[in-house]
Amino acid sequence: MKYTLALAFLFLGLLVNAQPMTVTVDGEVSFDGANFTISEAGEDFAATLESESSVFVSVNSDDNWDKKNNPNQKWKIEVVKEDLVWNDIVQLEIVRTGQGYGDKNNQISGGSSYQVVNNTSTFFFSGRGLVTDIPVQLRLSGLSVTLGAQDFETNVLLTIYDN
Amino acid sequence: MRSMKNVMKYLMVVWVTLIGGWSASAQWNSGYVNVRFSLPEIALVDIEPDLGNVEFAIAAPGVAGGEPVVEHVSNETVWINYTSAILKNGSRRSINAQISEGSIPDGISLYIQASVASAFGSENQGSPVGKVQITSQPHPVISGIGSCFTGDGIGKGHEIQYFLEISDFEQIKSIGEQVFTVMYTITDN
Repeated sequence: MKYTLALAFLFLGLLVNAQPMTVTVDGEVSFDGANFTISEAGEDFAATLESESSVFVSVNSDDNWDKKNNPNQKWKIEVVKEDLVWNDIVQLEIVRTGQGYGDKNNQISGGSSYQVVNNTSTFFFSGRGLVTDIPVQLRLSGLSVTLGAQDFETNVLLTIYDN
Repeated sequence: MRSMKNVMKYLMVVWVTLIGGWSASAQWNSGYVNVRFSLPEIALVDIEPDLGNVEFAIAAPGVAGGEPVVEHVSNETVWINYTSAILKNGSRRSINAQISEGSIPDGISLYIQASVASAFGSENQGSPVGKVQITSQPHPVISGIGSCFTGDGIGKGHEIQYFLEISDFEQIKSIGEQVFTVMYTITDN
């Protein structure tokens, strides 16, 4: 009896402790160099500058058992930036611009309005199951010639958690 | 006693189960994208309005033995706008003025004076040098320009005043209309 109970608990633990899901980010973030030029003497840069192309976020699982038996696993994605060279006057913002592709039940919510990417991890959006190619756009604000000529570089990190 | 041992075993199993369940809410995996861009050096200067002609007339004296009278015929104001972005430890910039086309008649001198920058625009705009004689060689009229912008248009940046003065009456000749161009250049100091 006691062994049966122990096995039952262990099996329950395996069920609860589902296999990890993975997040991948594809694409490049580039900003049109022409937007960093000034057309008329006396002017400043535009207030905001959107990236030229989207990057795509996919949520997947490497575990076939999990794909089959736990297709509606709930997850959430948080976003944070890790600066290499940055100036805090410039803000980097992120938005989710689409649903991506997945099962009809795999609804995604949140992240549909621009939010500032900080150096501390914050909630971006959440969903269920496997979803591919969720489009994400980035935007810069606070750019000014008063910052002078300088380089900027940061890594935007998306982390998936069980939800 | 035996019963107590069994309870402890079951508690251990429950504890392992709970730890397993707890780890399911942990972080799974991360992906990232690199964001990189550069703000370039910028040095742009412009005069407003676009066709900022300044016209003077030198009239004969009203009385014999009197001095010729210099009149400032045009009354529109001329403004200088600029945008500048320099490297972090780069030199501040100046705006130089010089006669680029035509020439100033003998016996006459042209002076330019820039006002202090208007309230519009950013910090780190330049400072006027004062009343400066303009020749075919570049002379700074505004200096100390950092990374800044003045705003674009009339009433923004520095107002430029022109002064035409008779410097040597003996060299003055009647030559009719004389046109010359003042060119402004923003340069690293």
